[in-house]
Amino acid sequence: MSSRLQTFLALFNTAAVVGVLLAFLGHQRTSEQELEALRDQVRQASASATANQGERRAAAEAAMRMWASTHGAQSPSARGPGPSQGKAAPPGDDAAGADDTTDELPPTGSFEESRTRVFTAFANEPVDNDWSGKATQTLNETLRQHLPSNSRVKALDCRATLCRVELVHRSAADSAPFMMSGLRSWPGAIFVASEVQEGEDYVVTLIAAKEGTRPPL
Amino acid sequence: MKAFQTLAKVCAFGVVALTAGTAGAWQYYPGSAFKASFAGDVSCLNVQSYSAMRNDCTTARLVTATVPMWTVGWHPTSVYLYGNNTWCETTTVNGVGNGSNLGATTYTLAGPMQWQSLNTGDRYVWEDTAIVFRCNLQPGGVIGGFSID
Repeated sequence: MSSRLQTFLALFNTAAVVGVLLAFLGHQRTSEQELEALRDQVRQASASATANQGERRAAAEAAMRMWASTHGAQSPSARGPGPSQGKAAPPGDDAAGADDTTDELPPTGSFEESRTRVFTAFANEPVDNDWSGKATQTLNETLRQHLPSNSRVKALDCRATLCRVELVHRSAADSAPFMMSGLRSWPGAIFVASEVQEGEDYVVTLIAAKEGTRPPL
Repeated sequence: MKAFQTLAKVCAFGVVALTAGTAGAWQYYPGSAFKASFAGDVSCLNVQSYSAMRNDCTTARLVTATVPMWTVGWHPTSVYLYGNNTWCETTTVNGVGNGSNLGATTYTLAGPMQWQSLNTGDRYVWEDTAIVFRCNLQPGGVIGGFSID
């Protein structure tokens, strides 16, 4: 009897162990399936986010065009290019030719790091005599016309794609209006590297970039 | 195991949410987001239809729109407007309202007034700075909208 009981218990234990193993394997398989389903959901959500962005952009552009065709005075054939197309051929667009690098530049760093990068790039840049001469002339004329009478140019140096300009004002109040309108005839982008009070002088250092280029911020 | 699965799901959707937050950077704003740069010009600017901004005075008026930015890096900008003698420009401004990255001034095409898109260039945004759109809107000129990518 005791032997039979032992046999029965042994069989029962074996069956229980096998059952537990099977249950564990089944549970693991289910977990893997759920994990795979979760991965699919993440992939679909990512794709959906990208698609939604494109759809939103297209919808907004279409809405702007539709609005223009409804309220504008021009026929559709006379209308300008849409927002996604190129510029309306303005002479001073600093984005021209820069689209290719949009994805290449890492969006990192602080303002100070940008300033260091730009100054380093300027220092390492060779001089393009042709562009340097023209750029210096343009900036000189612009500064002569628009700089406040109490202000002066401390330094002006142009290389191949960048010019470094140091302006001295009597106060920040003289600098702000000049910055907002005085450099409009410069056809490229401008980086205001620093504005510091040095004794009685308010010194502004600018980097003016060649038209169609971006300063290496 | 259940707790682990829940945690995995939360993490996965967190990643998706963060990805969507950074990827969906393209922003569109209506022209009515522009304001007169000077108080005396407020009466010149009226909303046309639902969301465009029109200058009803007989001379050009300076208008400004400011967009706070959080995504560091370069951002292409554009303005969609009706006119033939209007200019716009974009600038990255710092914490005290001064310009940091000034874009070149972009002019509308001459000729008959028409709807056109001005590419106002790429502006570099540092953390917690803003992009300012500035236009000198001609009489009868209308700003339909503007965008940042």
